[in-house]
Amino acid sequence: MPDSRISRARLVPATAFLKLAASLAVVLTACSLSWDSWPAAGALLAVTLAAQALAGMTLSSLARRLALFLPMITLVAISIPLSQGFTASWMQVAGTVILRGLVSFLAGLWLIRVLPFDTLVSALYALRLPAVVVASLAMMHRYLFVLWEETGRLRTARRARCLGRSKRITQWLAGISMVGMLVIRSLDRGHRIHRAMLARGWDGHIRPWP
Amino acid sequence: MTSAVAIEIRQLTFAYSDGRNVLHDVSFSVSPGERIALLGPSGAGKSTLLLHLNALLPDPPPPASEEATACVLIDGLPATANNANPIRRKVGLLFQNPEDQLFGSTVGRDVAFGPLNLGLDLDEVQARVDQSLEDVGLEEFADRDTVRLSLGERKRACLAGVLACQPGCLALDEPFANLDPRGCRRLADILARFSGTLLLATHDLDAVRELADRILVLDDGRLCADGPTTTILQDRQLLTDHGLVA
Repeated sequence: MPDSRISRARLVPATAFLKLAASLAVVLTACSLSWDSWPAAGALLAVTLAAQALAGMTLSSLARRLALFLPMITLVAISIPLSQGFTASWMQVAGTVILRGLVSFLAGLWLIRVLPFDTLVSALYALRLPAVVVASLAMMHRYLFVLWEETGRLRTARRARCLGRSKRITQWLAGISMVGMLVIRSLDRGHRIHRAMLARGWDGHIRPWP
Repeated sequence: MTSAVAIEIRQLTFAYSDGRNVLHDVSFSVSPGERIALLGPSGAGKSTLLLHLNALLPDPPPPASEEATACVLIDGLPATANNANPIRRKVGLLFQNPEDQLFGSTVGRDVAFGPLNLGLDLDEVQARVDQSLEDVGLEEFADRDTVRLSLGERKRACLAGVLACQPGCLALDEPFANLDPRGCRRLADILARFSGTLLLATHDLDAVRELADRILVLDDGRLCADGPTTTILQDRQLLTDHGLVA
């Protein structure tokens, strides 16, 4: 058995920790900034955008990801004045939330672009994060792809049976039914995965593999 | 490799909690090192039977007519929830869908899951990971993301995860399903090299001819035939009656 493989498996490159620390530093800095310190916040945003470009993220890929993220963070930002009232500074509050969220999102996006997920998992284990948290993260990453593939299959099957133009309400109902089906299948899959884990001796304790 | 294990099933009857009766009074025994094919149409109860070999289902009621206290015995040990750990060390179960079994982020990490649960030290775990990946022809795949594997590679990675626990018995649920001929060939070659007890639930009669010494035919939860591979496969009427050939 080659010794090099053992050492390779157990050693996390120092650059992984640096990348992780850099992302964390950006997130913490973003969280400490408010709308009033917009020049610093703008500079931080520019840095994270430049980092995306250096990491090889294309403008279209970034736009697609932001199109998913921005509506969500905007809703969160709007929910604050909605729940606490529209005071004179509500726009600054909402703007601060969006800015912090956006910079943190970009930092996370950069991290998963420059650090292979498995190395990230190893680094988190090495940093002594609770094993159950890291294992859950690893499993979530693994099964997001499976769920995505399953969604694709369901959509294809639905399209294959959609003859002609259907009404918007029909499409919505079919979409809701598909989400329900995905939830049921995910629950079933979770049950089967649990059985597969038990079959390989799992006793409820996560034993990290560095 | 640990020594091959013996299996004994006595009057096993099982129903799921929704009332579906899946197994009815199934009895058979398997000698250590024997290679058994479990044949039957879809829904015959093959997967349920294999789950019992790993104590993964609620304990079935003991047979009423005998003094015996357990329905499923692995090397004489009742396959009950109390004995789950030693039972699962003896019997390695390969599930039908590799997505259910391949939960590690990389192939190496996934294969290490079983040996880590056995409480082995990290050097021994690494040795088992390397050995089992070599056994299934995936020695270069340790660092490969499990998402980026073909179906055949996923099945072999799952098998490596089972082999890494060094079970004395392999119970395989439809291992050849959806594989192309080359994938089937590779998997059959790996299984042919396994020296322990083999229990193979499949519809692939070519693989059965090659890998099994004995066939059990299960239909509608009942054991309908039990005999040598050549005898069973020559009985065209039996195969037709139980939906094994068209």
